Amino acid sequence: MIAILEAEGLSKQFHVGEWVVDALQDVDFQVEKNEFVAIMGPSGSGKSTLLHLLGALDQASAGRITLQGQSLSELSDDECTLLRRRKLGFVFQFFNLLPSLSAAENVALPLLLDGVRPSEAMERARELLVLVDLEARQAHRPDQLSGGEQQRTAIARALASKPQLLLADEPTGNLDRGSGQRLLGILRHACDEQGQTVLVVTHDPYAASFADRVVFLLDGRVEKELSGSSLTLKNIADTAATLEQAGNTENRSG
Amino acid sequence: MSVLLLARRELQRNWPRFLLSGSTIASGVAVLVASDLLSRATTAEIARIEEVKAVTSFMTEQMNVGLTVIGVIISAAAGLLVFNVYLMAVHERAYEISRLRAVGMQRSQLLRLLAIETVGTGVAGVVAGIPGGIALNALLIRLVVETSPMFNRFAQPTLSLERIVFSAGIGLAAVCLASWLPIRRALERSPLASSYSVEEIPSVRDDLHQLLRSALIIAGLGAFIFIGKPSRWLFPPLSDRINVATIALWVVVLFLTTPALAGLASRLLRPVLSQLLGICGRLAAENLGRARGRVSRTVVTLAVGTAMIVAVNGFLVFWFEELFFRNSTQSLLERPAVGVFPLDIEAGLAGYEDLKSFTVLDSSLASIEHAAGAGATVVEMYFTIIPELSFLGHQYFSFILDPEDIKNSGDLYFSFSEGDWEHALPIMKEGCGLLLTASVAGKNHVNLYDPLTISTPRGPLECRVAGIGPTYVGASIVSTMAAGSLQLGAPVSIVVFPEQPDQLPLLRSSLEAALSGDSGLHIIDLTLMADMQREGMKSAQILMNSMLLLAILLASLSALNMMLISLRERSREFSLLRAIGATRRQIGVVITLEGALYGLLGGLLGLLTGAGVLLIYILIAGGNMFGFPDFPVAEAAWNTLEATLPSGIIALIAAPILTSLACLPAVRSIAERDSLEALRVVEA
Repeated sequence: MIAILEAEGLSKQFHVGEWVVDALQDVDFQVEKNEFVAIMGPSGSGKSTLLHLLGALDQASAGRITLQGQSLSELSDDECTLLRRRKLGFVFQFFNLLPSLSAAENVALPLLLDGVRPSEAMERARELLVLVDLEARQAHRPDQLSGGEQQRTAIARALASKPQLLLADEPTGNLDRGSGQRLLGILRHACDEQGQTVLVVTHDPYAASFADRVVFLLDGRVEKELSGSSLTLKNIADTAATLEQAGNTENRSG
Repeated sequence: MSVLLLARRELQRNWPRFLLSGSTIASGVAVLVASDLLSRATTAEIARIEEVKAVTSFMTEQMNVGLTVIGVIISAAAGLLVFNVYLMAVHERAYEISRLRAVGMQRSQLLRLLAIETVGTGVAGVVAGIPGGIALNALLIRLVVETSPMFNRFAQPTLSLERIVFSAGIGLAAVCLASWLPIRRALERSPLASSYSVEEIPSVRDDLHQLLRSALIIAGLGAFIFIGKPSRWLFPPLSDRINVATIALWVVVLFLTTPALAGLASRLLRPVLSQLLGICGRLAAENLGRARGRVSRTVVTLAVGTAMIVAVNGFLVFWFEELFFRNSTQSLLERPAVGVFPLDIEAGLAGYEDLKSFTVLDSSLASIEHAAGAGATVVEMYFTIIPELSFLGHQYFSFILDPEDIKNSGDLYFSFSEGDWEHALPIMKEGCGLLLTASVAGKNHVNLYDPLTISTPRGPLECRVAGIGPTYVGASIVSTMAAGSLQLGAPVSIVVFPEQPDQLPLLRSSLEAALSGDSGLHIIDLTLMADMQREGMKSAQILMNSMLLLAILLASLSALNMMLISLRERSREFSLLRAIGATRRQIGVVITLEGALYGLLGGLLGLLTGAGVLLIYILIAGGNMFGFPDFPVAEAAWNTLEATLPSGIIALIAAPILTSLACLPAVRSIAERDSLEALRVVEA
């Protein structure tokens, strides 16, 4: 297998007044090409921070991240922007579609920002909306779409520039069970049928069960990984519950 | 105490918003203070002698009224800005307000919190505005002295307590009125409400309906003005009232149509800007069509400045060129004359400095009559102030002239639109005969040959209207036979008409020779004097435009304030754009272009509003105020628009430039922000 994304000795510190918070501590992490990885952990375990660092949205305090052999820390702000535009796709919990653009225009947005011809970008957007079963809703604005439809539009947008890595932060966090299941099916399909690599941060063991591998974080460190035959919904839920409890105990004693 | 603490924290957290809101209020107050100081400085310079004060008080009074109106409009524009800012701030703080309510803050406490912030902003604006006005006055005086040959010296004025109270009252009222609705909205918020709301964008159909409604009203207005031709049958004072109502309707309709216009502009500009600037142009055009309330209020604030520049300049041009000097310009070409004055008019305001007396002595008068010779017409000029005969306000002067002299001096002082000399002369020679403009006759509800009682220093005086028609600079004329009741002394100036126009140089030489020993008297061609009065009009234009420039600057401040708040409101959106690959430059282009579009739309709306106000005014009023027979309304309207257009176009160009510049701090603030905000969970 080829590692598309590698993180070595990754640390991130936040300064809050006089306090220094270690959000991530010496994390080593790899994502293989065409792999679907879920990151789980209790609140404050560093999941989102890790996603932000891997997505070139934030800079690590120490350590190194390479995406297809390219070190992110050596990139300038503009180069990071171009990397996000061309090689990464993002899905956020709160859909984050531009309210004034139609579904198709929202999907085409990263391509338009990259200077792709509007007709070409819109054609690609229409293809992707077919993929997420929103062909009939392409002219609708976000306020005319349901939560599930908005999130499927957001996935289509994340796939618009054919990114090497798709990052999703709690993508089902704001959806009902049915919509969440449908969305996870789309992500799984993107991975299986389109060779997409997917990295999802989630609280939900059911969402994590769609992944090939689940990485558990606790207090900014990789605590455990589940993959292969051990990756059952029960195992994921038990591990998540154990870590949640450990986190709570630590907080109380701390 | 806790409310005070919260207010202080809010002030610390959002100081740019308070600073900019306070500055706009300060600008309005400053203009009000400066306008009073400026007219006092002029009055004090001119009116060193009581007679001069009496004769010129109309001018300073009108100037004060004009500048005060500008100050009040600027304060109203500041109020509009504060309204917009507070409404946006309440929307932005919706979550915080709901949480405060949820944790037990009573509505009265919330009201106190918001009132402290509001009054604090208003008081700060007033406190800064008063010294600001003093500085602005000094700056304006310097500007006028540098640029005008007439307004070249001003006295040191003192600010009146009444004006301080008036300015402070207007400033505070603007803030309080403007924040009333936003505060009420804040008080109505439920403790359960969240800050996350879905933005609704009006449909094309809604916009078209609004545009259609406005188009119908405007078509009705157009039919009334262009088909009804009201200038032919409407006369003062009714025409003035209809004029005010029609102008108000035009302005209100246009401003209420602004949301639909913004939507239409957004839709029309989308393909054009997409073609020119790609997705950045597209997004900027989209943003023009969103949050219609905010966009419309920003655009209207900008439009007020441009509209005022167009309208005020247009009024000055129309009044001076088309009405005041209409008869005199033509008349002086046919019948040139020289004036003998007890002050050096060519020296401008500086001429008043060493003025000892404002009368022509009998001995000098005899010399003038002797030098003029038998064929010339020598007109002794007397001025008086009679409230009933005042053309503008209550302090405008009237002439007291000999009826034969008026008749012999051509159309300079009076020409008939109603009546004739055959009937007028006996009335004027018999006693107090009056020659009035149509508006003064209308003001007193009198017709030709009607009696009219006027107030004089010796009590009421019975007069009769001997003629109605345009007079020199609109001043009413009283026959010299009434002089006894008006306590007149020596004349304040003498105007001499040669028997033949080509004898003017000779006449002038004779007068110069005759008066060479009389250092207090100065001779000037009346044509040159009219030119100087036009120069004076240009100086007034410079003065007004300087004040109005403040309105544009104020609007730019408002654009900056609104952009800062609006961008913070949309920070998640910009962070999202950054997260999916928009560069800082692209975001900067979107914001700057958005600001420029506000400026452009505001400038265009202002130009349209101002030009419309002018056209309506001219086409309804025509020359009826003066009573010009066959007044060429269309020609006057075109001439005025033509003369006003350059300043309107300058304002139109300046508005988008200033608003784009005003966006730069907002661009910097958004560029400094990281792209993580879009990923952060929204507390819903």
